[in-house]
Amino acid sequence: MMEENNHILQELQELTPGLTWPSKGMPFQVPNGYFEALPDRLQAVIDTVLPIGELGSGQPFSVPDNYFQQLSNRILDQTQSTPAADNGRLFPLYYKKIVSYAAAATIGGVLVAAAFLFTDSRPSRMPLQPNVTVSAQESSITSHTIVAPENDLYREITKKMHAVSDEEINSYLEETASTETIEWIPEEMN
Amino acid sequence: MHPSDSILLQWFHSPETREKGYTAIIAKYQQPLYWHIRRLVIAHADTDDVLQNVLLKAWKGLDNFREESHLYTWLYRIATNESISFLAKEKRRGMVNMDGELANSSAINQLQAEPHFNEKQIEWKLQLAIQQLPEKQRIVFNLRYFDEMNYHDMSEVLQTSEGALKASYHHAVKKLAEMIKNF
Repeated sequence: MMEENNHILQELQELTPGLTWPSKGMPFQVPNGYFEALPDRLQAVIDTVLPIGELGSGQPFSVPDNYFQQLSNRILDQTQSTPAADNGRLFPLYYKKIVSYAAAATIGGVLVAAAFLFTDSRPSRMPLQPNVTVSAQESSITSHTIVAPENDLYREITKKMHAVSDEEINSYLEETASTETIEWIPEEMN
Repeated sequence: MHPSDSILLQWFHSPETREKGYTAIIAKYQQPLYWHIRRLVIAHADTDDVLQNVLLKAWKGLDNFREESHLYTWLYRIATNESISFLAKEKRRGMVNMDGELANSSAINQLQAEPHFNEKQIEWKLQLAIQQLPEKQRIVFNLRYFDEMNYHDMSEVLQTSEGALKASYHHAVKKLAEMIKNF
C-alpha cells in the first residue's frame, strides 16, 4: 500500500508539477461508536430478515441429500439396464437412402403433374384455335375483309367507283379539302 | 491485525464459523467501504443505508464467491454499483422535485450542509471540486487518490481497461489542479 502511495504521489507530480495537493484526511464526521456497532446491527438485520441457513445460499428450494452426487450414476445405471430391443426396430442404412429417393421421386412427379395442369389450364379459359397453317389463316382473314377482291361489297364499290370520273373526284376534293384542317405538312410537301 | 481474506472466506464457508467469518469480514472492510461510499453519496444517513445494502448483498453472494477476484475488489464493486444506483435514484427524484436543476448541485448542497463544513478548509474545497467532475472520473479519482488502489484492482472493481482508467484519472487530476490553483 505504501509503495502504491509513492506511485500515486509520483504520478501527481508528473501530471501537476509544483502543485501541493491537499491531505487525504476526510473532513467528514461519523457518529461516535458507529463502526463498533455496525457488525452487531447488520447481524441483527440478517438474523431477522435473512435467517442463517435459509437464505444464505440465495436458493429457497431444498434438494435431497447427495442428489447431485448420485445423479450421474443413476442416469448411467438406467442407460445400461435398458435393453437394446426397447430402443425400437433397427433399419439398415441403405433403407434410409431408398426412402429418400422414393420421396424425391414422388415430389418430382407431383411437380411435373402440376406443370402439366397449369399449362393446360390457360387454353381452357381461351378457346383453342384449330391447328391451321399460315396460308390458311391468311385466306381466312382476306375472306372476311371488306376490301377482298372476291368480296361482294368490294365488287359493288369498284363498280360505283368506275362510274365516277376523275374530274368529279378532283373537284370534290378541291371543294372539301382545307389546309386549316391539316395540322402538320411534311417539309418536302411545302 | 485482520486475518487474511482466504482465512475469512474459509470461516464463512464453514457452517460452524460462518457468523464469525462474516463479522470479521465486516470488521476488516467496513471503514474503507464506508468512506468510499461516503465520498460519493456525501450524507452519513445515505452512506449508512448504502453500506448496509452492500454488506447484506455480500452476505447473500459470498456463498457463490469463487475467489477469482480479490475479496476487497469484489466488495468495492458492490459498493460502487450500489452507490451509483443510489445516486441515479436521487438524481431522478431530484429532477422531478427541482425542476431540472443541475444534478451535482444537490451533492454540493449536501456538502455545505455538513455539520463541520468550512469553506476555507482545503480538504472541503477539494471535496467541492471533486463534485464538479463527471461521475466516472469522480469514482476513479477517489479510488486512486484516497483508497490508493492500483489500476489493476480498479479495473476489477469498475470492469474497465487499465488504459481507460488511467486516462480518466489523468483528466480528473488536470481538472482538479486547475480548481486547486484558484483556491
